[in-house]
Amino acid sequence: MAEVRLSLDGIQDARLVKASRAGDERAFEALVLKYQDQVFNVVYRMVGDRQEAMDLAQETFIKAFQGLDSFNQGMPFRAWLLRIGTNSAIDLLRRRGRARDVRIDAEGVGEPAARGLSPGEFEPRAPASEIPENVSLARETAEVVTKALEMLPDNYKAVVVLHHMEGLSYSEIGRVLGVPRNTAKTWGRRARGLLCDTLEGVM
Amino acid sequence: MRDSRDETGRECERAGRAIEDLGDGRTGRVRLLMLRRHVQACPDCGMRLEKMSAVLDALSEMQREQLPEEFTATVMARLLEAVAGAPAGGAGRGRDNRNLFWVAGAAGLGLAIGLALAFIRHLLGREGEDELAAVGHA
Repeated sequence: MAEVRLSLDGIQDARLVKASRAGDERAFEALVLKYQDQVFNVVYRMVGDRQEAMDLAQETFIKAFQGLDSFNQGMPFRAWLLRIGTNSAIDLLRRRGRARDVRIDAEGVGEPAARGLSPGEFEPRAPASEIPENVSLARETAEVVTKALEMLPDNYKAVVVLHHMEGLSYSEIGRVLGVPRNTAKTWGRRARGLLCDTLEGVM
Repeated sequence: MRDSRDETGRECERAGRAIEDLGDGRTGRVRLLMLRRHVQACPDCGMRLEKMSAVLDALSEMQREQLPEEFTATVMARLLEAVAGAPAGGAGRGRDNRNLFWVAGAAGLGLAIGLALAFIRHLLGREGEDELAAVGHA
């Protein structure tokens, strides 16, 4: 992957990485402090379990430390770190046997794979009639969207979490997931389409 | 009649694209105003916009989970354990290199002291031989 122009933040990270490589544990600790919240929240939204997410976040930093020699200093550290985190989360979901990837077709646009969910399967978990009257519509919607997010194919879910919850651009997401920017963007659009479909019975 | 239906279809297409772009967070003010005007007359697009807004609101309002305070310390402890268990490589190599430096330094110093002692012994040995030779001559 081509090198990118690093932001000031990225340059600061590169310095910390260099110091960590030279054996400065405090430098790596600074990187852990800086990114632990983001890594944890991304993997938590991916796997949906707090304890598993905590273990995955810890493993992400250990893998990163052990792999610092293979890290390309011209790349943003955050993208590399989140790549390790999301890959670990997807691996865990695969081990659980409920990974739902989408294949990238010839045009680089994903279609739900055979094992994945089709839009038709995206029924809201809690139809309007089953929801207590005292729950506000916004809260109800949020609940449905949260559950629908859990059911998204893993790569769609990763895009939604990284873009809407962590504020990454599609270029950054492309670097994290190892796909072209436009593919990440397409996955994001499809993911939002599926999430909108789940609101059919609610709104 | 047909023209007006085509025009409405095109407007709906444009509105659909604007709604998708809204999801990406890149719908400009002018497009947003046009979209608002369109959805007032088009209930289908209005519903699409409402759903998209609800999804975006729900996503932005999802609460972040807090990590326990000891997380960093746990990571660093696990990391040191992992480095201690690993043979060499990774960022722990820098510290290993420093250890190697001290070991090599100590070994070098030991060697130098050994050589110096051997040299002194050698010199003393020659003096002894000279003395013995002198006694022999006498």
